[in-house]
Amino acid sequence: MSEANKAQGEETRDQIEGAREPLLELRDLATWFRTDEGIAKAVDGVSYKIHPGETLGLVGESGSGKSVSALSIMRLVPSPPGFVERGGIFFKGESLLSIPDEDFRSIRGNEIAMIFQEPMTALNPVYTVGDQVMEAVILHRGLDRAAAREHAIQMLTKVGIPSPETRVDTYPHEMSGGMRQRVMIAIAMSCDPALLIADEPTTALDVTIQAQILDLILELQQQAGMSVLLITHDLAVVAETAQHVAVMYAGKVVEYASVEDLFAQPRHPYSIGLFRSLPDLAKQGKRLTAIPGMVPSATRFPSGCRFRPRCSIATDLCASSEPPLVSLEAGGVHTVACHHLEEARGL
Amino acid sequence: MSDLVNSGNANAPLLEVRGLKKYFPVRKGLFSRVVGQVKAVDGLDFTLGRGETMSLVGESGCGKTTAGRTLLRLLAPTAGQVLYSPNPEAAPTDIFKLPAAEMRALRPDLQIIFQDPYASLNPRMTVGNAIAEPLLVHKVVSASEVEDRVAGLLERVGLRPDVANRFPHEFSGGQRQRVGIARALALGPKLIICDEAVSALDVSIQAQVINLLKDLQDEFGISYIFIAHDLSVVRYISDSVAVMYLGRIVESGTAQQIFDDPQHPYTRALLSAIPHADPSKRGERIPMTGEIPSPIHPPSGCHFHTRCALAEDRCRSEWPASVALGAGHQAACHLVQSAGTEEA
Ligand SMILES: Nc1ncnc2c1ncn2[C@@H]1O[C@H](COP(=O)(O)OP(=O)(O)OP(=O)(O)O)[C@@H](O)[C@H]1O
Ligand code: SF4
Ligand SMILES: [Mg+2]
Repeated sequence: MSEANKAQGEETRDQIEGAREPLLELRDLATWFRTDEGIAKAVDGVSYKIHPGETLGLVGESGSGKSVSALSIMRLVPSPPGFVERGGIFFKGESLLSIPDEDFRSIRGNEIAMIFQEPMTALNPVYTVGDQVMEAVILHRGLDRAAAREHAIQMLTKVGIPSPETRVDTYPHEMSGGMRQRVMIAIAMSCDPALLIADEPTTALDVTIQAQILDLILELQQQAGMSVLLITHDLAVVAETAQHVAVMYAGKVVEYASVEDLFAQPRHPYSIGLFRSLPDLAKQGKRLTAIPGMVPSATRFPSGCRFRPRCSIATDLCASSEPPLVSLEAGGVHTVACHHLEEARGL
Repeated sequence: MSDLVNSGNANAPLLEVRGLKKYFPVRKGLFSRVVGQVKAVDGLDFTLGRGETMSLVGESGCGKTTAGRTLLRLLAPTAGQVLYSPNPEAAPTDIFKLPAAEMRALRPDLQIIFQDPYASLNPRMTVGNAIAEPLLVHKVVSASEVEDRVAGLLERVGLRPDVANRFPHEFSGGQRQRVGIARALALGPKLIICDEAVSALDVSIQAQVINLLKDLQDEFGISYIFIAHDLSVVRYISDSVAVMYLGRIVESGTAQQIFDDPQHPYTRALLSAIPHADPSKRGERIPMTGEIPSPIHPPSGCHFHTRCALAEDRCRSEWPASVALGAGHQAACHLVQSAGTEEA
């Protein structure tokens, strides 16, 4: 009986979540590239939602389309060769794809900001740190230089840069990787964005500095009530920061769930394999259970389910038809794209 | 008394490193005048058992890579001894004292693989030729046998022999790392230094390569020095672990001692920073502010005192000697009690 109550409780929670207006929604987004080998379907029918104040973790292997989906939101996909083939991106209910470029500038860096893995390439080496933090507030908030400089010093203080009054006049190359990432965060946060997209923000950093940067992002998020799209290949980082997770494979979301549900019981054969590969969870001395084979190239995805060549329970059905992303329970949050969910339980 | 050199002992370690130092000159100005030195590696002592894996861990810039390269003499050492005993019955050789010709003869024994195998593979050479090259240079096999040997090596690392005719750019990261391993394996090494060898790989591919490294260890009795920043990989793969901070080892022991019973405040802070793949274990970090200081001007006393929450006056003035904590476990911290002197 208590089980039934619990299930009912969960359903209502899910329903509330479903009913809440998402801040950002991707609907069947497809972003492709024209390459010498043919069309690379980097992102090929991706849907996910981010609610106000929440962190969505986007995980998956290299080349699965995580960054391209984020760059599509920011309109930073190089074009040519890239183009949006179909689908929609909705921010606060408005279709981003139908906004003209000039108007989009008031959203990028203002309402939606982004930080990258390698801050050195994102920062301009010939401008001081202060100039770069000031740029966004001068552009979007119309502050004069003196006020913008004050604001920049405040932002540098906020992100934990020691002696911000002098650091504001230094150049990016004079800083360590961790400090540069803090500067990137200061720039991204300077206009109080509703959504922060962080693409592998800590991958290039030591674990100690990673912990500091993740703590900083969480702290700023709580202060400002902003939403975060956190892209990472590190499941442990997601476990520590996100409320929901989308697992991507070969240009698709194959599983979406709350972190608790995904980490308690991943349901897609790829997600299951990913967890088994973690040395973190493996017994010392026991062999790791690696997923055989490798990620297919974006120009040559297999027919049907794209995970099929590496999946141990694949059948003819998997080769002939692409499994849709469906809810485990009617109206529930946890969704999985696999034809053989029952068999996958036995993996 | 510790100067006794092991001889004729089957339990003798493969490698015993004593007082390993590597300083780099710091140059400045128009004439590149030497104005100081960076003590990148400043007195390391450790041993590596036969067929075992020892990991060097610590933040970037702490000297892990320099230590690995110096002990293979890829960099000229500043001081120290590296006693190498390929044959447990014979007295060990000090690698640093070998004349160039003898060192060259020893090269096949001592291999290194890097994070980015692409950088160490010639883009214009097929992978088959890349693997064959060391075999021919060291005259391990005749030209007529080389093709078979290369095919065997490729198969051993899980690649199809027919990929021998392909070029490095045609391979994925995981495949290139397999090629790198095949090449290191070609000459039957006793020791392979893996410098961030699996760090750039996706987890599912990383697991394949880690399994391969372990299989090769079981099969050929190879010892590894594993340099990695991913501590969950280190925990999984290592027999012993040395934690470095600014050129020195602050704590060393078995993997179990280091991960389950860390004693040095730096080790504890470092381990607490590892994120767990378990959402119920969020937080609970030991705060460690700031970043690793520049090795050009390391802090006085214990190098770690500028970031240590427990630092006392003594820590700012006196370098703490290494204290023995139990079989093979030691830490260099003023606040750590040696085994046996602990208060009841
Ligand atoms: N400018 C481009 N031209 C052609 N193909 C591209 C371009 N940018 C990305 N792609 C392709 O799109 C696919 C998805 O790339 P994406 O960068 O989104 O992956 P990712 O999941 O972010 O991977 P990583 O973990 O390595 O960052 C890849 O196959 C990539 O080669
Ligand atoms: S749909 Fe088929 S191939 Fe794809 S994950 Fe499920 S069982 Fe495996
Ligand atoms: Mg990416």
